[in-house]
Amino acid sequence: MNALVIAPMRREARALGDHVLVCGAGTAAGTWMRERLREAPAQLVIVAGLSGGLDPSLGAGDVILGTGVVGDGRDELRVDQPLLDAVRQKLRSAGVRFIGARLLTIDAPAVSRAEKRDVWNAHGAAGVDMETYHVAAAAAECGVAWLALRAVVDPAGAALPAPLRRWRGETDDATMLREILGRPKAWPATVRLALHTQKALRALSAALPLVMAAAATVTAHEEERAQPPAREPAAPAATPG
Amino acid sequence: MSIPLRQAVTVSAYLMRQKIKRNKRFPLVLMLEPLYRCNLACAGCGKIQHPEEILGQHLTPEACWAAAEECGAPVVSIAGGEPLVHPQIDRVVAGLVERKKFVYLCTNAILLERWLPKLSPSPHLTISVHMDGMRELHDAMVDRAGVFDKAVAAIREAKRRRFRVTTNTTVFADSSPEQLRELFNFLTDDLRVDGMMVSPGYDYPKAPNQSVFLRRPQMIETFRSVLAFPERRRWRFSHTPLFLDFLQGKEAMQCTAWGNPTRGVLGWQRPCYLMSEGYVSTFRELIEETEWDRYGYGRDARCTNCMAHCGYEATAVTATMASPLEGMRAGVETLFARGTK
Repeated sequence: MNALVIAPMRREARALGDHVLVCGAGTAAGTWMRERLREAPAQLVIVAGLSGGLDPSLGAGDVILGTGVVGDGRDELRVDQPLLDAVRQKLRSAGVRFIGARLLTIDAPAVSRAEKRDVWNAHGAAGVDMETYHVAAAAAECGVAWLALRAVVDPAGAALPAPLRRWRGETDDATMLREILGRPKAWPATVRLALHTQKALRALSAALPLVMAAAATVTAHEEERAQPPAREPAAPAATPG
Repeated sequence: MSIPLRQAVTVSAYLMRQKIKRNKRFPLVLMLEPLYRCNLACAGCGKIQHPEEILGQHLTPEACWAAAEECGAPVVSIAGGEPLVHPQIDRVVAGLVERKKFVYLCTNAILLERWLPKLSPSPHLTISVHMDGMRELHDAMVDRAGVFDKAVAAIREAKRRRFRVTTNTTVFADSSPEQLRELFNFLTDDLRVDGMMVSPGYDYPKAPNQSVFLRRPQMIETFRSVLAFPERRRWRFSHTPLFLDFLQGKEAMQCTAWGNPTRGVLGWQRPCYLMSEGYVSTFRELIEETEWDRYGYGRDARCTNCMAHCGYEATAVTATMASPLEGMRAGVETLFARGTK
């Protein structure tokens, strides 16, 4: 199986393994995805990374297997059902704590509890990120199947440090850190975020190999079906007796 | 009081026990459907479309009591169908009260006056009358003229006989905030009911009229308007303040369908009171073998427009118990019918 595993941030890719490529944050992830698939076609794209929690029943480190993704004002893109079923089955049999649910992609982090509540009510997505929709749309344009695996880093009931509202990618990390250092009120949320990040990355690293294994089975099965049937040996011509 | 103090204390103690035992999933209200047969065909009902041979069946009183004991929930809501069509509903109720369950006997009240002499008032028994609006709207929703007047007369008679009476209002697309305001004022000031339950209608695919259902954003808008009326402070809702916040979009919640397990004539219904994906023979099978995480808002398309109390009130009760502030707010609401944000 030719599967491409991507993560929006370097720290996510590092935690997930050497085979994981960095696609960048936000809309840049979609642009990167299109170029990559043009250069090196793949059968499947798996986008893995951290996400904000919108479903209030989820805690830090809970894994969301995307069943589809919505963008603000855009129609839902759905994951191929047989692929989804196979992955779901694999995760469940391995005892991984996860849910299968819709994801939401927006342009900037949802920081406050109220923002998260409002987008939850509006979209019914369990998790929110800045890339899945762009990656899925690019993959769909290229006729490539896709999967999304996200782990909750900030649960619905926890606010992110306020300066992160302006975060758009890892290049903003240093600026964000400086702003947070100057705002002691944001320190507890920052410490919590750091702890949750480790927890979420651990959960993601445990789930990803299972997702890849399940996806490989489905892809191999599809390849098998796509092969032309082996030709039957020709029957000897009947000879009149 | 919107919920009797005795019930509030019993339910709180039950929840504490579940917490101490670290039970992740536990029943709060048993939804008991001793039959599916009804004497009405309401526009938004998805319960009465079973074939005749199933509509003709009903659970025996012994089967009802066994279900309540097997489940262990402190509250039993007898729904259906119309429970008062059940030939032994008085025995069913008496047996459940004897087992110290807090029983909500849900009814459209058409047959209530006939049954009242056979029922005994008890702090453990609440008669919950279906009331979707004032005369015109209610009769239109139940598709029969005269039902509103019959229900009002039955409520008055039940109150006269010292029964605890609450109402259950399902909110549909045809229910305007003004109509609901008029209804809640009438129920509070004129009929003096002991509490009111309110829930958005669930968009049953089998319901005869699909145009009656609200979508989630419309539901939130309607409840925000209704609960913003100044009279809200007098209305006694039998809900946690958190559930009412949820209906107004002020709180994010996920469904906890396992909190309201459903036992009907076909068995324990999976996964919830509103959706049916088959039946199992024991409560244990239902709780342990249902893939609960597959259901809920954002997880199953059928849950998209569901904000019903049978899915979310258990979530609200659990969240209330987990927060001292919310616990106090609910306590104030229980004692003084206050607690709005």
